[in-house]
Amino acid sequence: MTVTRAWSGHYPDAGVTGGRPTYVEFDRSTTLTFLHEPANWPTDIEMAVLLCPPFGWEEVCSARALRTVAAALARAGYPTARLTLPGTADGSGGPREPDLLDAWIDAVGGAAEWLRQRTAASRCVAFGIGLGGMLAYVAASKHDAIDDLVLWAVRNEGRALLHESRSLSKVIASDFPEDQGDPAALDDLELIGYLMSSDTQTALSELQLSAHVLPDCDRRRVLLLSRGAQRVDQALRDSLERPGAEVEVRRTNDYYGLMVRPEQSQPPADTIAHLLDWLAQGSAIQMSRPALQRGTQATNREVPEMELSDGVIETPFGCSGTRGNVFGIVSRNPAAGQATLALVFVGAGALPHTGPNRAWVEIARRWAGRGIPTVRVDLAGIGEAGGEDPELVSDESTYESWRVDDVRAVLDQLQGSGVADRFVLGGLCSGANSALQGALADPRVCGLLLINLFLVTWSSELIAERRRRGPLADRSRNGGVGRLASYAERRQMADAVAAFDELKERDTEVLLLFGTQEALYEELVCHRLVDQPGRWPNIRLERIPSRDQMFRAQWLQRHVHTHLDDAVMRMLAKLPGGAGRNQIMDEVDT
Amino acid sequence: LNQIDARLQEIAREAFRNDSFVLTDSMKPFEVSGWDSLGHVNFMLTVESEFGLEFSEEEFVRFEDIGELKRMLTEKLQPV
Repeated sequence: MTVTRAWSGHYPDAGVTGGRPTYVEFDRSTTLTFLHEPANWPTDIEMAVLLCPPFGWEEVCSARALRTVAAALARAGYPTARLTLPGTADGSGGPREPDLLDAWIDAVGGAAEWLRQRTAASRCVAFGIGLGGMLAYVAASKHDAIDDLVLWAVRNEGRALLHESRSLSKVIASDFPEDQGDPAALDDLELIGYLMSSDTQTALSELQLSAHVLPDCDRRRVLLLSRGAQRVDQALRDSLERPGAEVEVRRTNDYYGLMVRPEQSQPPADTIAHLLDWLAQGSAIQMSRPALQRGTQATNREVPEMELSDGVIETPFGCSGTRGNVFGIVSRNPAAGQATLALVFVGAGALPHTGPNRAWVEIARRWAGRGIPTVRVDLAGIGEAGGEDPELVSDESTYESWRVDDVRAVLDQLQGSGVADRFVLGGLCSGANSALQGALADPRVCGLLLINLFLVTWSSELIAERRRRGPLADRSRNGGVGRLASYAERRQMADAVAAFDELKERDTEVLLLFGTQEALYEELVCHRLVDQPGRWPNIRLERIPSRDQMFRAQWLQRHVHTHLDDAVMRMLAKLPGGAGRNQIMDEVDT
Repeated sequence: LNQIDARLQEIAREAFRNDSFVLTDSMKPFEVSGWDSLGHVNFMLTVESEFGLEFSEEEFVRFEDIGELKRMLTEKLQPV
């Protein structure tokens, strides 16, 4: 089989809720968007909405819920596109790109231009949250594609936004000593798994929205949304009202429900109602506030793939799943020829591919550049995958056996499309479990990268017991713990032994990476399963100096990257003749 | 000071969504039931916005108790 440049996989109909992943190319760059289209397109689209996400931890928390917001707007007849900012999530580049603030603003303007042309909408509304709102405002001052603005929790000054982000980061870091920052990167700012370069900080701290004049302000409508008791920024409000924009201020009470934690984030129902109400009023007001006069339309086009550095291209991936479509991104280097294997990373819990979880994006691009196709997938209910049942993000659901069928369906499609015949599966927490179970079920899997594997098999009894008992460290020091273990714990250990034996039998190379407070690791220690040299020579166990399950600090992320890279090299070396490893070593050396 | 007390109390009730929340000077943040990270950030940002001032990042995280927060507030509100 050969890997052709044109991706021969398909992306299933995502429907209104999912949003169709679409790469938009304009000027020098390509931007990833997710377009939510109304089920029945009205003949005349009055308004299309461009959703500009917040930055940092708030993006991590709200990603899935904002998908619901976009779906609700599309259902009401407003085509809505969600923008991925360059250097974040599955967007192009990285956080150290030069002139990133300008790139963000251009991405908003370019996406708005594309959205208007794509939908033939009379007006384009940019709905921005936090940093996304600031970018929307500046983009509106530069691009005539944006008519109206909805700004939620938006500050007039970039300096104030940075203060907020730093303070939130400080509060979170106070719970985790390992998050205290990287002394080797003093100029860069670490924001809960995100990195902001000193250049971007400087540019953002100098940004003042009121200094940017919105042309034809008297033709624009603006909805300013507060968050709880925090009032909207008065300087921002003044800068819009003074030149004649029609400004409406509404209070929302669901901002913090949206931003609380990724797995607990709730779609902001009240704010969606405010939005729909305000958009509906726009139909009547349009007569008095005609759309902007448009200049020459910029060139933009939808492209099937995104070209990155090192010859890597990325394409969306999708296949039908048991409880909803699986979503993924395939990273590969078409010039590298036939791949010996592909890496497949399974998303964890409610975490999208951004912030602490952008590590998967970076690893995928690095290995794709070396000629190893790499796929990051979200199973139903997670990230950008289908499956709207809220139950799908429950802990128990992420361990259900049908997810293994979905993992195998991914492998089927990748193999059928000529990406590879053999696979290394990887994942964190519940993603690690899906990878483990996928390997046990599928002989095409020749390697496993398991980070903070929480359970080998689901056991609500064991989870409850772990909560009650706390860390096992003291018991392990005292020895004899195996005799005191509960049935649930002993059962889990038996399942672990059976899984490890099976993987040894198949000669599947395994990396087990555990943090300092991982319950399964402690149980393996207590049952003396980690100090039996030679029993499972295919398994390498390494520790991560972190108490938390995810890796926010940059130094921790690098630590994990190193372990994963080393493990992939070992797996390649085990391929017949070690040819894969030799080829990659040449790539790495050069 | 009573005005500060009353406004802080009101902000805390909003931030932690608890209408019966009663602030006392000896109350230590994060040791109070329901005082979580996000609520803390919400509370502090609202205090900044209501009183028109800004805390340093250290002050934002590390004040011993509500009494210390009030002392910080009083100092910042005094005319220079």
